[in-house]
Amino acid sequence: MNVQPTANNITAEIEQEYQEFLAKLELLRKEQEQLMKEYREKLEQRKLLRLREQLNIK
Amino acid sequence: MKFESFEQPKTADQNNPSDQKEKQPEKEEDLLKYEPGVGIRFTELLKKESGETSERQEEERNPDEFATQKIQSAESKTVELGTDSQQRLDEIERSVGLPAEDISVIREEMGLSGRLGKIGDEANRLLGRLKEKVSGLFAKEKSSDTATEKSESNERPEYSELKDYLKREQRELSRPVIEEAKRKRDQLLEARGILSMSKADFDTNFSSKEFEVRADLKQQNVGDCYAVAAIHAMSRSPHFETICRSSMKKLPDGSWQVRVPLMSENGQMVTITPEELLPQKNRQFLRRSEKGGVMPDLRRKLMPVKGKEGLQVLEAAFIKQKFGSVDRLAAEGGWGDEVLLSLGGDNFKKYSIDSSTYNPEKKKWEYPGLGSLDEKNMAYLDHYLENFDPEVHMATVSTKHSKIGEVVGFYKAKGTTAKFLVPGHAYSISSVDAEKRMVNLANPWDTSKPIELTFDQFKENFSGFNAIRIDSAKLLSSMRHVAEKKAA
Repeated sequence: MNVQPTANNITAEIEQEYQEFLAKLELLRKEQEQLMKEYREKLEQRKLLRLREQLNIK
Repeated sequence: MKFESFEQPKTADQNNPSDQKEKQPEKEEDLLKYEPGVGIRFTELLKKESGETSERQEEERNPDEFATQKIQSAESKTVELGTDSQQRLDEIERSVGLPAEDISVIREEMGLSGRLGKIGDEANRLLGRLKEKVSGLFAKEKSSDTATEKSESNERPEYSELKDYLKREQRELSRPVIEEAKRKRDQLLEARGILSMSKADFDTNFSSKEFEVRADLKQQNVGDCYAVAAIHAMSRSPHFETICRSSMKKLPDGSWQVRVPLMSENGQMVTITPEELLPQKNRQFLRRSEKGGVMPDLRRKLMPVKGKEGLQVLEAAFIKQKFGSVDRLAAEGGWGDEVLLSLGGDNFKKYSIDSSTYNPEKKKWEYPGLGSLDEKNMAYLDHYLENFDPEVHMATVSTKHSKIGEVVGFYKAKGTTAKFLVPGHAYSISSVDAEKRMVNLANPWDTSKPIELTFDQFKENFSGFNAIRIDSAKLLSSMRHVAEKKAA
């Protein structure tokens, strides 16, 4: 039996799709955040290395 | 709810139902955390985020306006992700205060722009999918015939989720290694003298045309279609030249030395003499098959595969390595992935899917076709086809067996009039057009004539998928070892 979807059903489904999109986008944001963290750490390590070189610390 | 969490199986061959337990996370942070081996817990996440009130609030809304508003919001969030990342980068670089050259070195070491680009691409893909789904909902409203149809992902959450995971894994984890492997391969090829076989020897013995291995392979009267199909599949790989030139050598007396597995450090050195490539006397001539049947074996001689000498050597090397001599009769019957794994060793990873099942009532094996696979295996198969990449994949397939009483020979593939297949026979996949959903196959009887089937025709007519995926990291490491050894 075919059932015509109502406007309410459609908005509910759009909302659901949208929430799923947000959840997945959030995952990407976290991944990006993690990448930034890694980047900062690498830069700081390099900075430390440079300082050690300048101060001739072994 | 559409998405359910599930345990990611390790490989296509290691599905284990007992492994499907998982810990239930409690915090929202844990729900969002994506870890290999653990599915994304959208169900729990969405319960937390949307709650029950949102649906009630939407009751009075106009769907068109509502959709526009949501799409606009999604677009701005996608753009935001990109601008945020740029701002964060500037902020981090300012706060650390390193010279520009140090910054660019670290950026390159990390492959930062590539990795950020991939995140951006993925966000755009998600946005595109959301738009498609929303417009699909409106299209559904207009057509009462399709009103009750649910999208593929609605009905098959595990299938969709697994395919998404596989695609992501392949693209993000393997791509940088493949790129490095390609660079390394080019370096190796450029450095003359590093490889055991010269470019000229390779071209003479493997290529029909310069820079192109279009191996005109023709299986002769030996039943090793699986081996010929596997060699043909391998010859389509962009790595084929490097693999052969690093592991094979033609000696002045006309014999060959082949290290099996190819590219392996400690492979067995197999020597193939010119005599071993000649037609062989059939010891079964005029005898009946040991497996039964009334017809005697009428083949007086057993012929090597027809094609370039290097490819004949590969066929002979596989047989000799497996059976101790180039015994073509012993090599009759087998599976393509076995040949690929035997020749490729650790550099290749098995990726085989089989639809055959044993029917205990009829006491026989049945070959219903790949179309009958369960969702998990179908996700693996579709992923392989839709993401087929000659850099990574080599595949042979086997057709459904003939029914009792059916004469073994050509038959038309179901759903098409122009193509011919042979039952119980191995073919190789030459290429896949994922966009048009077409598979380009070659029959080992004559690989120069391509056979094109749609994905559906392919699944209807083939029952075994005997493929491999190149382990790019291992291949790269093998290339390094070969280069180091030769340099030393």
